[in-house]
Amino acid sequence: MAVVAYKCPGCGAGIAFDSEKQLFRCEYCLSEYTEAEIAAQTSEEETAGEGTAAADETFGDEVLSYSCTNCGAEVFADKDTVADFCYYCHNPVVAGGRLTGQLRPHKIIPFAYDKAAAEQKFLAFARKKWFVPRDFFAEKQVEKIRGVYYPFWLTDADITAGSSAKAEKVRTWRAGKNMYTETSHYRLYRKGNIHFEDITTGAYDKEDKSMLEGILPYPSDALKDFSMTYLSGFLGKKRNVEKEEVLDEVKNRISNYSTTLLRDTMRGYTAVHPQGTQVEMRKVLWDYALLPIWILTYNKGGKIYTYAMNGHTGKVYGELPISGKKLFLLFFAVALGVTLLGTIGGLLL
Amino acid sequence: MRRSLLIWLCVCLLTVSAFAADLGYVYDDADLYTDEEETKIIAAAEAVYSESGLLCVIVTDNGIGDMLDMLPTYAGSAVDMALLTIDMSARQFDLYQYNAVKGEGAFRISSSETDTILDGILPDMADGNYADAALLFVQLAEESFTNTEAFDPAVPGDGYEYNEYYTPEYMAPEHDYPYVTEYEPAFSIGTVLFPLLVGLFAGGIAVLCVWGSYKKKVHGATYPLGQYAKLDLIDAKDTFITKNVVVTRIADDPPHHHGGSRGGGGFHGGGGSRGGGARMGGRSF
Repeated sequence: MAVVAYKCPGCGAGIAFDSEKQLFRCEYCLSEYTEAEIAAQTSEEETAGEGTAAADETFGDEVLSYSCTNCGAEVFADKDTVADFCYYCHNPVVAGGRLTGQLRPHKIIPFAYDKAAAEQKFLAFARKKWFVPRDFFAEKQVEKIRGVYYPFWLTDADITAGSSAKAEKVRTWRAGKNMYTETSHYRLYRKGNIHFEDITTGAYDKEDKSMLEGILPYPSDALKDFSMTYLSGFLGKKRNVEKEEVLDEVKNRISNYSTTLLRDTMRGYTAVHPQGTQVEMRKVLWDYALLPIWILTYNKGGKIYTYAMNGHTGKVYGELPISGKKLFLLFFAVALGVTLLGTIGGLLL
Repeated sequence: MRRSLLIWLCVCLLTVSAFAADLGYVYDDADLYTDEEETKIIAAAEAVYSESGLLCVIVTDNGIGDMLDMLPTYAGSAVDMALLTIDMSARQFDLYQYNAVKGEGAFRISSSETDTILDGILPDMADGNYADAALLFVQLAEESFTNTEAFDPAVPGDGYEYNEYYTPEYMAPEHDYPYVTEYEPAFSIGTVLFPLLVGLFAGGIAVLCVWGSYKKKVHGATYPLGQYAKLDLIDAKDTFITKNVVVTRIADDPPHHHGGSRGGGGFHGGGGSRGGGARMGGRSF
């Protein structure tokens, strides 16, 4: 299996993707290269039989052992890892052989901002939350932050859906001493052709699914054709869930989305009660993509908080800690305010 | 709105020469009447005015605001006016009574007579016979106006409210109305205990809301449909099945209590000798 270490064409040092500049940058000679330049150079070296190192051994398909092309140290990685760092020289390496054939992703969204920006974005998000303990914002609290490309299935679907519902219109009026309430009952039916773009489903079951999908959506226009060079400098995982395994989930989501869309066209009624939706799938296209996520680990009072952040939009997933002191202040202020207002109001009325 | 402002402006200009100009009977901005119907209504209203002195005015529009300030303008030189408003956008009609006070405030159409007029024209209004409704309004208004048995001086309809701008000729009714009460603050344990319990409850709810929002891990939609899905509607059917109507008897309102110095819609001063108008009650159709 081919293990690729992308190297600077200028000085030969390890090279990694700079998310801010969207270029490859050498930390040693500060040269910058486009993705095409790095890919071309790697391709030449592969042809010449240099720059790559075959994996030494596999252990029952679970663990891959390979020699770092930079320092020669032996490095181990689990079977789903496609991009990592050498533990000794911290040189970024990509297990290119694991992303070939059926397992080669069609699309990728590169990281849009770097580690420091990710940390600042997260702190900015947390600082907006008044009830988070103040010391939680300290940068030293950040235990670990790493950029990971996780595998996802992207589904485009063209469907025809029909939805039926019962509806009511209520009209009231007064005449003399009487109040009249008129209720008109209707049966509604809506049918439409619907195109769904990029329904995104996690394709990696070793990570919390709700975390992976909690930072969605990614903008479709940020998708690029897959190139292994983007993985350099980040961790990467390959899929271990096939599209057949998520098909039912995707169909279910399409049915729910269709009901919502068709329900939105049933306007002008006091109440609408959906009765059911029939979905006919006309065309379904699947793309396998690697999408960028920053994983942040915080340590607060011995408890570890894990957050995921969308590597393109900055959307955060995770539970924030609450300051008990601030919560008590809120309780006290609301209770006191309402009591005072109620008492004064009661005395005046 | 623009049309209402235009009417207001025109009416203001007309007021300058109000005493010289003819009285207006029909302002049909909602175009409910044909020319022939309008002529008929004006003739009936003119007859009533010349016989009894009651000016019957009908105002129709698509959206009518509070008319109380405009009543003197519509009344012009008339002393007594009954004004019917028909708001076609809200499908409501309403009756206003106006009296240019000279000596005493006198509303000659009582609360129960107002109900009789409004309920009387409701069927025609509901059936879309607006001209018939207008003619009936003129007829019933005159009957009520000339019926002196129901005359109730200075008490507009169900309520009465003191107007600080109108004092010189005001004559208080002989019988007592329970509208003016003296303020006596009374402090007891109950006055604090109940608000305290409500306050504690509100504090608890606030804490629960914050706690819930901070424990929530996912923020915002993970698949915004408006952005990622496109619907092309190819069939839409709305089939009427059935209709039912429930009638509920409305309980009488308890007596209203008002503070001693609070002004209201009962009387609106329009200068030293100008009188007041009253909104008598409305109906939907």
